[in-house]
Amino acid sequence: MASMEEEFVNALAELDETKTLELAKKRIAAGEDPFKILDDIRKATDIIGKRYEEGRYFVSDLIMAGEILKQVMEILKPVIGEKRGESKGKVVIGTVEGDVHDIGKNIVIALLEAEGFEVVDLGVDQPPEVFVNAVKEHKPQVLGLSGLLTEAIESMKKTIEAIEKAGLRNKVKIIIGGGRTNEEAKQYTKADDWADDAAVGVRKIKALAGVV
Amino acid sequence: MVSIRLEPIGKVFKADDGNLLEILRQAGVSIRSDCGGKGICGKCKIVIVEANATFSEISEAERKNLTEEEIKSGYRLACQTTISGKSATIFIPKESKAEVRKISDLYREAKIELKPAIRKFFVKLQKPTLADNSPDYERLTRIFGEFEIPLELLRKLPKKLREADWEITATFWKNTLIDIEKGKSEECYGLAVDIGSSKIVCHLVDINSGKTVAKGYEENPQVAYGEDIVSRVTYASKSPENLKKLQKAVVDAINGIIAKLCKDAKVEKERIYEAMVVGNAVMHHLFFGIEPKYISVSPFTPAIRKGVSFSAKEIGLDICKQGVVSSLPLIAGFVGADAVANIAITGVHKEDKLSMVIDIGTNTEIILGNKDRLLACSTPSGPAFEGAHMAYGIKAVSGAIDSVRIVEGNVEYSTIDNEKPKGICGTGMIDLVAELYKNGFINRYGKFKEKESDRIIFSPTPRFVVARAEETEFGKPITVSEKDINEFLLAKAAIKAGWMLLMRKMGIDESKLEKIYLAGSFGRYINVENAKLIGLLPNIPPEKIDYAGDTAVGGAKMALLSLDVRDEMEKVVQKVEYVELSVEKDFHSVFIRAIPI
Repeated sequence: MASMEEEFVNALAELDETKTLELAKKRIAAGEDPFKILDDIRKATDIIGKRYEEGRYFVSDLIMAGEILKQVMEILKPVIGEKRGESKGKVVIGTVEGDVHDIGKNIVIALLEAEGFEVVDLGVDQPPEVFVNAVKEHKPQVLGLSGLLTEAIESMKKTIEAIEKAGLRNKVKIIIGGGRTNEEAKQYTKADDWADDAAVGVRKIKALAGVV
Repeated sequence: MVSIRLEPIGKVFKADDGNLLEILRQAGVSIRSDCGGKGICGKCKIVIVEANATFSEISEAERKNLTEEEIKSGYRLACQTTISGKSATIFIPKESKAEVRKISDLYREAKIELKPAIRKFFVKLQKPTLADNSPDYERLTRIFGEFEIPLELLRKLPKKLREADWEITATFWKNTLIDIEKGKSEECYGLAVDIGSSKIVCHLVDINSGKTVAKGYEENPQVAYGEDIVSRVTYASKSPENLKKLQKAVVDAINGIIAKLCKDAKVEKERIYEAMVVGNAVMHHLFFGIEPKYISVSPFTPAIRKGVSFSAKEIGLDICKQGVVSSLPLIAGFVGADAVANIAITGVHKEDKLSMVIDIGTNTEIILGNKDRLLACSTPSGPAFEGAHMAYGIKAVSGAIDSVRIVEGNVEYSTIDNEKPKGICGTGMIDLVAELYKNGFINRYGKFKEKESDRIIFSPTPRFVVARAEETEFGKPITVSEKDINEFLLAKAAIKAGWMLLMRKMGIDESKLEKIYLAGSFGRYINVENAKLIGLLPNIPPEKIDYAGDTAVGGAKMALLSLDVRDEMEKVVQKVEYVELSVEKDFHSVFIRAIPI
């Protein structure tokens, strides 16, 4: 008989929404450390990512995974809130215009929140002005621009240009994230850093926010 | 200029240097091109047998869609290949040929009172005399009152009346005189036409009796310019010549059907006075030659909604010289006159009980409601049910696997015309996915489970062998992969999300649904239990599901025979609430959850 942890990882990896949410609630009710649950989420998303690379999962599966993940985080948030002390900083993050992929972004958010960051999620397919306004309003240390498509790089560049135009570029560190980002894209978009992996992204965001 | 010989048909013709798909189309060769020549679908495979010519380099798209072996043996994608030179022999493999598809011969007849726009009267007119020398037209008004007359007929009126020695049969379309015949003539016919994006269906109808005397159908030749309607709109919007080409293609096809029907029923085409045409908004615009561009981009507006009537000559339709071509009204950019015809024939707008009409196609139109309220939506289910986007997907043509059962790990299937299988069509796919799920081969998301079976090939990605190599027409196995199933489930989800949102808007759930009409020829052949299992249809008892058959042509026929029906439909379209799914805020969330089985 599989342990509740294994069952949870499998349910999420198999995209079983009802079971995943049920188990997440059960584990919290049992007083489990929410960081252990976050760790299992990471295990499950690794499996999902691997299946995507193998050509067994498709974009629709990633979207479903993102939907489930979002709800699990809603369940975990209050418990994590209790556990964590002072906010380590503020991060605004969103998927850029023309792109709707959010699984990577949602994982990064989950991990950042687990680390004690306050995160504002702008959602997907957001035009530059939404990012500009969010930076004005929330004054984050770090802004994350996410996107999976090659075209997203162009939108990232436009977004960063808009932030520069608004006179906000020296007020915020910017990281671009997604499967197509690399050093070249970073230079092209004039971002401060890049990440094509959620865990690396979180590490770099921490560094940009001055949290070691 | 290059001389091309086509095998196996043996056709030889000359063409300008250029794109091979374009050359084949212009030569009138029907070749599959589901994506409209973008290099995506990989269906326009051809083989260059020998050539004294140069061809474009193998493109990226070709490397994706052709195996290395195929490339070595001269396979190309016609849409990706340009030719220049002297001569070439090109082989068109059987699977690349566009074929006339299976069609439902069931259609609904609704009882209506005959009140056609066309009426014929045999009359004896008073001959003019010196004492009574009023003009010819006034002699007619003594019987008919004031009426309209087209110039061309007026030009011939004096001669026609005198040649007939004032005993004539006058044919009116509403209040316009459109024909004069010598003596007594009772023959009076009309044409009901459903222009589908894949096929065109025509009924030749005796207006006196209201009966269909002959019917026929033809593949919509626009298919050669793009499988889905969006690619056709893109093509038509490029230039006025392109729009004209598409218009001419469909008119020519209908004229072809008319000639055949007239021959079958021994009717002169001059005795066909009106054609009533239905089709989705894009088919409607293309048929009339109206710019279709703005239907396909937000906010999706057609040029006109109300029913229209124009002279057949202007359209180029080969019926009576002064005949009329009419259309039922549209509901919205993606819910066309075909959906209006579906309403007319099922009568959902007159009933107390809550019914749903669902017409599955490249775009699936769904209507939900009763006499108090009607909701309509169109959902982009895509060509998955027509076999596109699937490695072995084909249309419902001869040799298509159209039903599947898995019994104790063995696959039992049937094919259209009992031919050797050459692919799987939409109805076969519904069965296949349902059976794979029922028998524990796949999970709710269509992923293969670890299961011992010689039917599953696990490498590189899992596939299920539906028909073994020795059973198929081309000597290779017909398989279905997780990617194929995913494509299919996405198409299903689009439809399910459509009816779920309509039901939610209406404030009901499945238990309140009293009837489902499966419209269109696709609906005719689906296994309802399997369709319910995979979530394509709401789960309601089978006795509440009605195979309505080719409703669109039936609705067109009703409108042909009754002006009351036309008036009624004008009122209905004003009342129908069109739901644009893409702006519904829950659509994304409902759609994603509609994917699993």
